[in-house]
Amino acid sequence: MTEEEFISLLDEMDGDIARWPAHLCEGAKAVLAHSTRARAALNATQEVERLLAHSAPASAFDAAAMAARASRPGQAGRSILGTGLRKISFAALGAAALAAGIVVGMTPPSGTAIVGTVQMALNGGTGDVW
Amino acid sequence: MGETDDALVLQVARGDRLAFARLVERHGGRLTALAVRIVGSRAVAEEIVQETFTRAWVTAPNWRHKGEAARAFSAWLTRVATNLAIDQLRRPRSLSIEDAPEPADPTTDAVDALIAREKLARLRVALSGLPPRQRAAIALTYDQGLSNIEGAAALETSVGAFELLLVRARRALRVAMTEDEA
Repeated sequence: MTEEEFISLLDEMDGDIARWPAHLCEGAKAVLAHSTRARAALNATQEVERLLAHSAPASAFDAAAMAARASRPGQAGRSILGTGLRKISFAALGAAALAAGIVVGMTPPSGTAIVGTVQMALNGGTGDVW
Repeated sequence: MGETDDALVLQVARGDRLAFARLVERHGGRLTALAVRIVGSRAVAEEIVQETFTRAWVTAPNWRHKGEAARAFSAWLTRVATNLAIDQLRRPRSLSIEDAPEPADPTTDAVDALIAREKLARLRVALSGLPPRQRAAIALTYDQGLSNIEGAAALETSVGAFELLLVRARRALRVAMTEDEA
């Protein structure tokens, strides 16, 4: 196992190499014995895991109040979803305006105008036709 | 021993507010912790959890008709709360994870406590720099203790994609902590 392979395995599994499959655990120990970088990576991984465990957010909350609010008639979508819907409305308006612009831009001019434009081009008309 | 989620969900589907309150009490804490870890703000997290339960209340009568098995209620809640939290993070004016309250410090020695607080602060900064789905993968795995299969279901993605999110998140956090040590 190379140093790079060891570090990749750290990210794929975890910092508890004793729980790795036996053949990987042996390889990891060999790399750790001679690689300062591998040891630093292992220490950092274990530190992240320890900190994550110690910083788990508290789960305390007012269950009764939340249940009452959540089941209140007409509550659905009033807070977060409501904001989302407003954003969707603006997005829909923008999309509609864009679509209208594209349609207008792609609509060919009237038949008379097309004939005139082609005739000007064929006659070597002014250069600003194209 | 209380009633199972199955039984409570059936009662909620009939409009039983007491059963609903018991489900909120049973699952609200872990959902709040999950949302706090993802969005970094308790106030926003509680709003997310409330919205999650509101959706549960509103859609309860249709669960079985929609093919949503009552026994999957816990996973359904996790999925809705996770998605709401990710959506919240993707909004331009989402709150910083640094708004999260300071967690309890387990160390007693003053110097150790200072070092621990400084490291926790660095971890929070590193977490806040992760993309929303990577942050959610970390929360689902380390805080909620979900398996990769369960985590993938919560994020509505494949197990392979979930594992990739975890690998990238672990790598980013590891590198952040390593760089800070240097």
